[in-house]
Amino acid sequence: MAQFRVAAPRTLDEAFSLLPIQDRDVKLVAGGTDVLIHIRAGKSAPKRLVLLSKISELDDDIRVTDTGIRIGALARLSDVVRHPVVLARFTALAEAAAQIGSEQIRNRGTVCGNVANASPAGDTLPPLYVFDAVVNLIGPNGRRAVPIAAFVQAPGRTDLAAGELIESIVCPFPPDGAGSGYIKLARRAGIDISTVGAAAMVCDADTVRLALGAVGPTPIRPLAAEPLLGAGLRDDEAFDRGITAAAEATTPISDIRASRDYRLAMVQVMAREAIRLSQQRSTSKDRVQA
Amino acid sequence: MTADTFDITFTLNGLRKSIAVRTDAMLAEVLRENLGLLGTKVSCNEGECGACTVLIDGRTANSCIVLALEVDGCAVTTIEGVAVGGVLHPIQESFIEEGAVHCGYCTPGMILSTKALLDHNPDPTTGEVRKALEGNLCRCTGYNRILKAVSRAAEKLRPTPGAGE
Ligand SMILES: Cc1cc2nc3c(=O)[nH]c(=O)nc-3n(C[C@H](O)[C@H](O)[C@H](O)COP(=O)(O)OP(=O)(O)OC[C@H]3O[C@@H](n4cnc5c(N)ncnc54)[C@H](O)[C@@H]3O)c2cc1C
Ligand code: FES
Ligand code: FES
Repeated sequence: MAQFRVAAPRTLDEAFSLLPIQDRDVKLVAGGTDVLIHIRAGKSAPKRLVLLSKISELDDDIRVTDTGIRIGALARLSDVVRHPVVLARFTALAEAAAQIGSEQIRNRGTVCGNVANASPAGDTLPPLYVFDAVVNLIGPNGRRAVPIAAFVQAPGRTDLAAGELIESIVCPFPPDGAGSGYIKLARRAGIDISTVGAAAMVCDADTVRLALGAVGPTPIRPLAAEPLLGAGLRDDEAFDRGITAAAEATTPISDIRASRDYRLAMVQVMAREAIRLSQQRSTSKDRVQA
Repeated sequence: MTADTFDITFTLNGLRKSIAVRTDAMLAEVLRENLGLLGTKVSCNEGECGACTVLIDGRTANSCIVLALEVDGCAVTTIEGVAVGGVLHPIQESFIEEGAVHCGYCTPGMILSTKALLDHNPDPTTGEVRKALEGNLCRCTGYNRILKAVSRAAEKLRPTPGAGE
């Protein structure tokens, strides 16, 4: 007797006809690096898996458009790591993907799977928050587009309705000259999941975006702190206040990886470093003159 | 469609194979138990150690967490496909010459990860080698010998200046 049954639909319509009445019973599989591990660990016991890999309408492209990049449902983490436009314009995303698991995991795991998994420590999430990514969903009733911060709702919970799937994720180009970076704190480089993650983007002399991972139920974009951090690019005292405000927006917990207090201390260090790194990478004329 | 078994056809070490697999079977299990290729090892069975590494379309994967039916239509290389006509591959020679093999449990995975690296990047930096092998754990030899074996293999595989071209 098989543990679960697997369906490999060839078209979206076929997939929709197989999709959940009750989502505990059916699981979509992209790379399977989360789903299959969760099943093995007894964290979930779906009766049926529906593979996305053979669906003709889905693709593994990372496409550069006039307005940004579009990452297809099946695009692998390792393709994001190597993509020249991602590296140049969305550096923090390439850097985050490069730090997920191992080469073997990145060769199977997808960006969209990392997002749909909605782990508070999912490494691609903070950069996608910083780049104002939009998640394109498709379902039997049509398409809709949801901003990343609204899509990710709680650990393991997203805005996906029964029967829907992620068709792609798009990121608009950041302003010219912007620099970005992702820093991950983990017990061990590679393989290990993040204790704290920080993504930042800096452009012009006064614009900072910041997103923090693994310090709350979802990644946190401390919007209220961003103007202070922006002003802080030229004013150390404002920068310190911005960092404090960013840390106050987080709600870390204690778990096997770290205590709440350690996370609260480290999130400030990580945020500082991510912003400094992004600033070094930005090529804004204003900053150079300042 | 959702029957308990599924027919797959794929290229295994250069030869076409058709086989019926249980839909919930992992590739590692099919290679070892259905196809008798015991070179692929299974250790952690959860994607952490790399003992089960194979190449799927030239890229490394942990075969313990890949559904066998996902390789339908793909090309799979296992350690059995690395030596050609009974002649060891330069990477295999280098592992022996540098003493990078003790119990050997990690070795097939190490060699396949090395092959994937050198196929795409003939002259990797030590940093690049470490990154490429970060998903392959060894409990025995210490990694220095493995790193040496990889650079020796890279040297052997690089066309010598003046020769060829
Ligand atoms: C050894 C190991 C190390 C890891 N290290 C890290 C790490 O450092 N950082 C990190 O963030 N993650 C890590 N992971 C987790 C995992 O590899 C990533 O989250 C990966 O991006 C998941 O992608 P996938 O395609 O394999 O997802 P899958 O396992 O196929 O799917 C994950 C979830 O998303 C859903 N899903 C997938 N695609 C879609 C879609 N198109 N539409 C709707 N739902 C979808 C699935 O139903 C499932 O719920 C690790 C995993 C392993 C095994
Ligand atoms: S046995 Fe597959 S990664 Fe350890
Ligand atoms: S030689 Fe024994 S695990 Fe590497």
